[in-house]
Amino acid sequence: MNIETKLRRAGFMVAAGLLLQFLSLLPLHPLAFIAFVGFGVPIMLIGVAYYVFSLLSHTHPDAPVSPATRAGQS
Amino acid sequence: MPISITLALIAVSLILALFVGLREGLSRTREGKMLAFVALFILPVVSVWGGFEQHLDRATSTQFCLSCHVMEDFGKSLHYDDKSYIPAAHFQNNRVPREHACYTCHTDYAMFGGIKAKFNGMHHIYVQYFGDVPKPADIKLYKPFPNETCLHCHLGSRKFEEVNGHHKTADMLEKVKASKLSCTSSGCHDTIHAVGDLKDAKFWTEPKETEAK
Repeated sequence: MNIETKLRRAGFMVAAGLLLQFLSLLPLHPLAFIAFVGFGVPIMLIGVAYYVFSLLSHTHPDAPVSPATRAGQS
Repeated sequence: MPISITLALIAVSLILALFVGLREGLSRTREGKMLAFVALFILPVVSVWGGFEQHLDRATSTQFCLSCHVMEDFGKSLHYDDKSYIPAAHFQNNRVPREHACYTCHTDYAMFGGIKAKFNGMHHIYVQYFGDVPKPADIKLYKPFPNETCLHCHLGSRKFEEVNGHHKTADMLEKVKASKLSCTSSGCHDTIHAVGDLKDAKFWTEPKETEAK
């Protein structure tokens, strides 16, 4: 899976979490806090973590190949 | 931070995150990568911080506490037309901020008072939806009402220090200050919410803000 797809997935997850957070701030009720902490924040954090992970695991196509990797490929 | 700003911040973050999700080829340009970083990392983190602050602040409001059905009677008890009811006298005479009346008296003024109150609140939500909800008259405090909560405001005030009732014995005030004599359960200020009295009670009507002005 390329980084483009990963970024888009992360975008949707973050957006879903933020939507829940937005909705949880409209009513003044204890359950709204539970929705914020229990659903909105975790979904958003998974999206953020997915984005960070996709950045860290991404190898640029023009990046130099290390001798060890080259030896493994041959 | 006002709620309108928090909502606007989350809305902007949401729109940008959706934009990143819907837009193809965003990561091919430098600007696109920077936008993705702002939309998927910086703004969400700031939004969560704002949302948390907002929720924690709202959880201290009287309206929030009374939003649970079982607390309605306690809310009504703030309107007893009788100054012998301690919460009503405090609420009606602005000795506690009306918007934060419950929280002002029911959180311990110690380092982790607010945090403990939040955990107790989570337990209340659990009981409300998964446990046996007690009748309002059967609801009791977890532990005796601490003198520190009263002293937080009253300590040092002239009326508190000089009123005859606090000098019935020579060491009475010292015992109160040292929490050796309870303010509420020693027979002095023991008429609290008393929700059992609601059906026969006379109520004070809170004037509307416009009328007060």
